[in-house]
Amino acid sequence: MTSVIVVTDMQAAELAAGAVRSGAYQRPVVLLTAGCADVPELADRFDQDPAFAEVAAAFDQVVDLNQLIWPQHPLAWRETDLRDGVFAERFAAAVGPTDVDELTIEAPPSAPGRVLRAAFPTADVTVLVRSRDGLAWASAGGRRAVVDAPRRIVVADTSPDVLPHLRAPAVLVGPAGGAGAPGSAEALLWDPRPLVALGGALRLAARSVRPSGRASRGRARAAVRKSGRAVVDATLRGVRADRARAAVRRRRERAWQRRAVRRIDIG
Amino acid sequence: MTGPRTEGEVTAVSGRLDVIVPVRDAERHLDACLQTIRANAPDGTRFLMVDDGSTDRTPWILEDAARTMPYVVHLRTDHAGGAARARNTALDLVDARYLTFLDADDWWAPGHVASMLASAEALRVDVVRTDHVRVDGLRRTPERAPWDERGVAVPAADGIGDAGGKALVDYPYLWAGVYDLTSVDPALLRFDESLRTASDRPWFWRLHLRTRTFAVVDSPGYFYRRSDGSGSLTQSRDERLLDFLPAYHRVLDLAFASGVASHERRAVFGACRIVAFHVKKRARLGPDLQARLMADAAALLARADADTLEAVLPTLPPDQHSLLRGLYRAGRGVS
Repeated sequence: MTSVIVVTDMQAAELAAGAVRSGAYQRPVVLLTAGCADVPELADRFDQDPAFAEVAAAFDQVVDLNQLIWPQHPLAWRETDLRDGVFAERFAAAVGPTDVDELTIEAPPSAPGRVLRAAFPTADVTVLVRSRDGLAWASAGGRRAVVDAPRRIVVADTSPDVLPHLRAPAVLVGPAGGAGAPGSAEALLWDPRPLVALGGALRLAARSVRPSGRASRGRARAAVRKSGRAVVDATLRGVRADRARAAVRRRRERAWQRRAVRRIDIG
Repeated sequence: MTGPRTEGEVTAVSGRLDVIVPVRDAERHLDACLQTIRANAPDGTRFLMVDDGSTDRTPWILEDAARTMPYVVHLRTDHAGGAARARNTALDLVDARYLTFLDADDWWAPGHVASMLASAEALRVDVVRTDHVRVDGLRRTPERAPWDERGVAVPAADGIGDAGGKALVDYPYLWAGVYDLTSVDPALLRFDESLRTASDRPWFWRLHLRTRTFAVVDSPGYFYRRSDGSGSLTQSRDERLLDFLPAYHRVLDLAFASGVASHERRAVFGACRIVAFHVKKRARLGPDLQARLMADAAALLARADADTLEAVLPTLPPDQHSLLRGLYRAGRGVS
């Protein structure tokens, strides 16, 4: 039972430390730091910031995400990178065998947050809000691509006018990183999940028509199981069209090669 | 310089490692380059940074770096002559036991150079090679040097292999290696300045044929930036791209001169593979260059004897066979 918080800069780390100190998290809490400079290998690390030691003291463990996902850049890290199991192995080696039951990501989330959501699919998601943009994301449509409903929102208590708009249980963190007033809790709008699921299936089926590949066909089949015969037919038509186009391309290439070879004059 | 130096000659007067860095119009990358140098300059390391006729602020940046970083030497060529010429200019001044290379738009992970040097000193082989990470934008792809045994000295010719699959001789990344100048003749390390691209192909063939031992080791990381504007000639659309053909003529010269059948098959395999690759990517060339590509490729493949070609073809994808046979017959003047 572990809480994991991923941050991409010192400001987010300080906010997370404030939330942990306020008692908002069950121990143990692991902070994952993601260095997102163009060349992180040459940029200052979090632990080179003089203020970081105090921040780090709030957590049970601090782990450098860049090391866990080497050689990938955090902003270019993809869910497909999880397939080889290397991240899971490195995470287990760094943190020990544990279930992650709460994952805290920044809002709006960058790549590390999205991929960690996929790495820990059963964890409840908390979002860390530092700006109105983040709050807008946490309470509106963009959020649903990553998480249906965040369990909690950790928000910097510097914009009291945003409080009425919170749609999930909130942990407020004061300007100095201390605990703020308790927040309001309820999810206010209708549950959008059924509509999202259907939209997702249709989008998958549409993508499978691209000439690119077999992998998407499998995903499309999975999608169409949910969404009906019309999509099955559309998908199969797309696959057949892909094959026909590829055959035409191969014939044209062979014809070009024959003509080009015939024209060669070695002198 | 003639022949490898003795250890006595080197240790009496020389540094531990010289790093050759050819630079041309690289002002936007130099900040990171100098940062990586600062983070990777063990005692006794010197960086020979050769400005190859830059027209941007590169000369001023290098001049300033040489003033503030005593281990940086700023060299200039009198006109832009390409990376091969720039590297040769620096090779004339090399004075260390070990040599390696760095491209100005690439970087090392901290500790990379120290780790490579430690491996070279421990293993006492002529050449130490390692993996690298290819960088496209922010996305990185690890590229493994095609050799499974790590940290073990091996006869250099073993890296040539036979037709098919991957071989170390076709892993043409000179910056992913450290070269011991007490055992490698510096003349072997000179680049053919007439080749504007692919000069590293015959360069590695020469090394594998004329040095004694190598080892492949793990390392913290060389990051090779490959993107538009990085200067990678494999992305070039001009006739320089066709210099892979004369480069492979040199490779065939070396392989045929070795008199070893497996080397010949490997060289012909490499020539076939690169010809098929460039024919597939021909759309980046204009019509005249496409015609030249086909004619020069036919002349290149025609140097192989028929038995060697037939031995090599099964190791290549079947959809390339008719093209390669057609080019071979055209090159031999067989209709």
